[in-house]
Parts: sequence; C-alpha cells; structure tokens
Amino acid sequence: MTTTPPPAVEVRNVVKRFAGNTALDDVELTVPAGQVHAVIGPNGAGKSTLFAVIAGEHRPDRGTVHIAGQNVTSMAAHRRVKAGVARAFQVARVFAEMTVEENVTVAVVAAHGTSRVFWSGGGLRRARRPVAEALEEMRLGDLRKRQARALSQGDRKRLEIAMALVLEPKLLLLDEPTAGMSPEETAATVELVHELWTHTGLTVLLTEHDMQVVFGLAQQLTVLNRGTVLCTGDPAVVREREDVREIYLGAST
Amino acid sequence: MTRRGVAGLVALVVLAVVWPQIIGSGQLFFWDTAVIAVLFATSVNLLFGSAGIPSFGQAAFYGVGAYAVAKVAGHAWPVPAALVLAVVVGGVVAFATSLLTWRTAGLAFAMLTLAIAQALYTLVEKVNWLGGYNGLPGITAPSLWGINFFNQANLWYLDVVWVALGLLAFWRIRRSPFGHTLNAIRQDPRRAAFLGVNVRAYRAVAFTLAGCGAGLAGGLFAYTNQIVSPASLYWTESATPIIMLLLGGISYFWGPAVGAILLSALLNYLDQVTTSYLFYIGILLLVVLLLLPQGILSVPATLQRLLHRNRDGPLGPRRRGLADAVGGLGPEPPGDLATPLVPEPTDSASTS
Repeated sequence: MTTTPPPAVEVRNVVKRFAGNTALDDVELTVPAGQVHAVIGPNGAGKSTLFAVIAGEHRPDRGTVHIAGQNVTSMAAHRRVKAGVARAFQVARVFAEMTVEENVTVAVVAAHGTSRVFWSGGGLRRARRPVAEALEEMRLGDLRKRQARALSQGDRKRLEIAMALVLEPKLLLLDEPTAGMSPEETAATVELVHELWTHTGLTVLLTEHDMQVVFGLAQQLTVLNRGTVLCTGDPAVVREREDVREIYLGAST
Repeated sequence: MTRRGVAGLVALVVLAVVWPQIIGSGQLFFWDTAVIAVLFATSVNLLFGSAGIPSFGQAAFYGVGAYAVAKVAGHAWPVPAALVLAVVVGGVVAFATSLLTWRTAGLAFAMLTLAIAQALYTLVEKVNWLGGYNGLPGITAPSLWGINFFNQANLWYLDVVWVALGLLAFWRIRRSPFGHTLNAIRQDPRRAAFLGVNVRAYRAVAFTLAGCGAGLAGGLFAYTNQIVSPASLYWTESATPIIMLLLGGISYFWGPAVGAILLSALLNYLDQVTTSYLFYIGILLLVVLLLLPQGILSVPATLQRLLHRNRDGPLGPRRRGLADAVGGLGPEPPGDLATPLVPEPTDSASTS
C-alpha cells in the first residue's frame, strides 16, 4: 500500500477583501502533486488575488493555504519559497541590469542558501553548473550573456521560468505565461511547459486567457467568477457547461 | 585577476610606499584624511551602489568608531585591538539602527537614518564622558612592534595598510553571492523576495557591514587627527562620502575612491586659493552629474557609446548604469581588478 502524497497546494475557505470589495469569497482549490491545473475566469474574477494569496503577497482575511501539506498561511513570501512555491509574474520580472546568466545565478545562490555568504565567492562558482543547466533546459543558452532588459518579452518569461525552476519548487505558479507573446513564442512555451511537466512531474498552477493554451496544457480546470469558484473539473467537461459559456459570453460583450 | 589588475595593484602599492617622500610631511596629514575618505566612501557605496539603500546617517558610525578609538587610546590599547573595536562598535550601532528602521525603505529610511545620526550627534555633544562639545583631544597611536606613530610617514603607512584591508573586505563582499544578491535586491526587491530572499534581513546585514567600514574609517581618523569632536557625527560628514561616490561613479568599485581623492584634493588646494571654494565644488558636481551621470569613471564607457552609437542601438549589450555593481565593474574598469561576476571571460563586449 502506498500513501498518497499531500496535495501540492490546498486552499481552504479563503476570503480576501480589499477596502470592502470581496476579491475572494470562500475559495477552495486543491491541486494534487504532479498536476497541471489552470484557473480561468473573466477579468476581475480573482485569479491574480488567488495567486497572490498562494505566493504570500497577500494574507487571506480568512481561510488557510497549505503547500505540500505544510500550513503556510502566515508565512512571508520569501519563506514560502523555501516551503516550495515558485512563481512567474504576468509581466515578467527579471533583474533588468543583469545578464541572463546573472539573473539565474541570483536564484541559484538563493536556493542553495549561499546568498548570505559575503566573505567568499565560492557560492558563485558552484552556481555555474546549475545555472548552465537551467539555461539549457529553457533554451536560453545562446542568450546567457545578454542583458535581461534587451530580451523580448517571450525570452524574459522563459528566463523567469528558469529562475523559478532552479528553486526546485513543489508548486510552480505561472500567471498568464504566454501573455504578450507572439503566436510562435506561445506555441514554443506551451511545448516547453509540457516537456518540463513530462520530465519532472512538476505541479503547475496557471492562469491564462488564451483558451488554446489552457486546453493544451491543463488536466484540470477551475473557473472563477466574481471571487467564487464556479466549478472545477476536466477541461472537456467544463468547456461544455452552460454557466461557464455564459460568463465568458457575458464578459466579452 | 587580470594582468592589468596586478599591474595596477603593484603601482598603487609602490605609490603608497614612496608617497611620504614625494609629498613631504607638510601635506601628508591631508593625504591621510584623503585615504581615510576613500575607505569611508567605499563603505557607503555598499549601500548606494550595491544594495540601493539610501542612508544619510553614515557619519554616526564613522563618529562612534572615532570615539571608540579615542577612549581606548588613553588606556594604551594596541592599535589593531583599538581598530577592531572601532569596526565592532560601528557595526553594532549600525545594526541597532537597521533594527530601528526595519520597516522603512527609500526616502523614509533616508530621513530616519539622518534623524538617528543627528540624535547621536546631539547626545555625544552633551556627554561629559566623551568630552562634550570639545571632544576628546590628545589621541596617539601607541608604538607597535617598535614603530613609532609620532612619525608622520609611519602614521601614513598605518592608515594605508588599514584602508587597504578595508577595501579588500568590501571588494570581496561585492564579489560574493551576498553582493550579487544585494544587486538583485536593488533592482527589484519584490522579485528577490519571490526567489526566497529575506530582503529586510539582507538590507540589515549590508547596513551593518557598511557601518563596520565607517567605524574603521572613523577609528583611523581619530589616530590621524589626534582629536575627536562631535563634528565627526554631524550630518555634513554623512553627505561628504555621498558627494564623493556620485563624483566617481556609484556603479564602479573604484568610483568612491576616485571621488574621494578628487574631492579631498580640491577641497585642500582650492581652500588655499579662494575662500569661495564650495562654490566651485558645487559647479563641478553639477557639471559631472549633468554630463556624466554615472560619474567620472564612466568616461571610457561614455566615449565608447558616442563612438558606437549607431552600431549598438539603445539596447546595446554593455550599457551599464547603477547595475555595474553586479558584474563588479563597468566595461572599462580603471586599474582593473575586474572580471565578470559570473566568470566567463570569453565574451565581454559582443552579443549577437
């Protein structure tokens, strides 16, 4: 008999209000380890707030967040990274005045715990190999000496994912991973994430507007609307639901 | 280390050894204060250039370092012990300051550091144990291994050796994973936090290390000046190293050093020519900041950019601002001790 691992992320009864507006109202979300899970919904549905609550940017007013079985509800963002959450932002945030390689190095020394060593450069030398590997994996090897601010938005996003991966997360949060990308870049990114998932069995939670990306990647879907969970389930089932179609049609007019 | 770096270092060492003969004992005191300013400004640049922490109260740590040495010099503490005490006291007071300012950043932090330093200044001025308004006079460095520091040249060597040790420490900090992480924090603290970096703690450590450097500089100043007064903690003492590092270039390791030598020399020599020297210093600062916003050390990079304007375009590969702090140094590091931070010497100026 094997014991099933705890879910990569478990959000229970989360309520988050901003100045009287309820952004998240009693939200429940469970993503088993190894799943690619997409959260969709119209603008203002609470997707970004949900991500911020999971990543530790916002504390929920009520409810709990567990990462791999560990209660992280009251943890600051930097401690949640140690608990296993890594994220990429909707508009990629990289260190613009560093090279691609130096960007990933920041992440590697943080993950190794050598970033606090100020008396020796050894940590940077030891970081070289994992940095090179991560860049290869995200196909950024040719750009490693490029200043991050000179990258296209697509390359920045892949750089951000490379930085997240070296943290060896239990849960990878991708906030609109293909926003701002050309169709070619989008296709390449979908393929890349899929490849990553097949190789590493990484748990991925993503939001996305592009339904092709969602249906190309996600094994489970959660639909958010006005801060509440409308439904969760298999993509093929969810897309046929009348209420889901309604909010999307309603949102687009 | 590159061959040019070694050559530069050897030249500096030789220069330091023969300097007392070149300059004559009349001007040596001024040069003592100039090299102390080099260390002080370099310590401040860990905050401004690397971590992006705007502190306007570094004189507090400089001052307590000076007072620490002044107090124990009377008890004939050996020089190294007294200076280590200055480092520790500077660091401890800086760490306490970083705890008081834990939740602030940016302008609020700058104002708080200024206020704390001014409060310490007022306090020191009132405390009889520290000599009150008049300070503590008659500080001398006791002989060490038979070397007598009443001799002006020996005092110069004392200052130079300790300044060199301090610079070496800051050089290593800058080239360490910690220094690399500080650069990341300066550019985007929120992004750094989401990589697992405890931003406030890192800032506190950087602030403490800068305080240690300021304390050492202050301790050396006590031996050199032979009297310590509350003026060492006054806010103008905090402003001077900031002007120095802006002049030299905050993104270069040697920027503060160049700025410190330049400003010290100007203050010294202009003072002998004109009473309105501050006016000319102001004009100089204005001109440098307008024409070379990245400081004097950016001249080679600026020239290169002017020459290659059309080739690289606005996003050319090695256009570096504050960020030079990262790879250590800009494209044409002066007296070069530099190799790129993530070492890979093959590709310095060309990307596709």
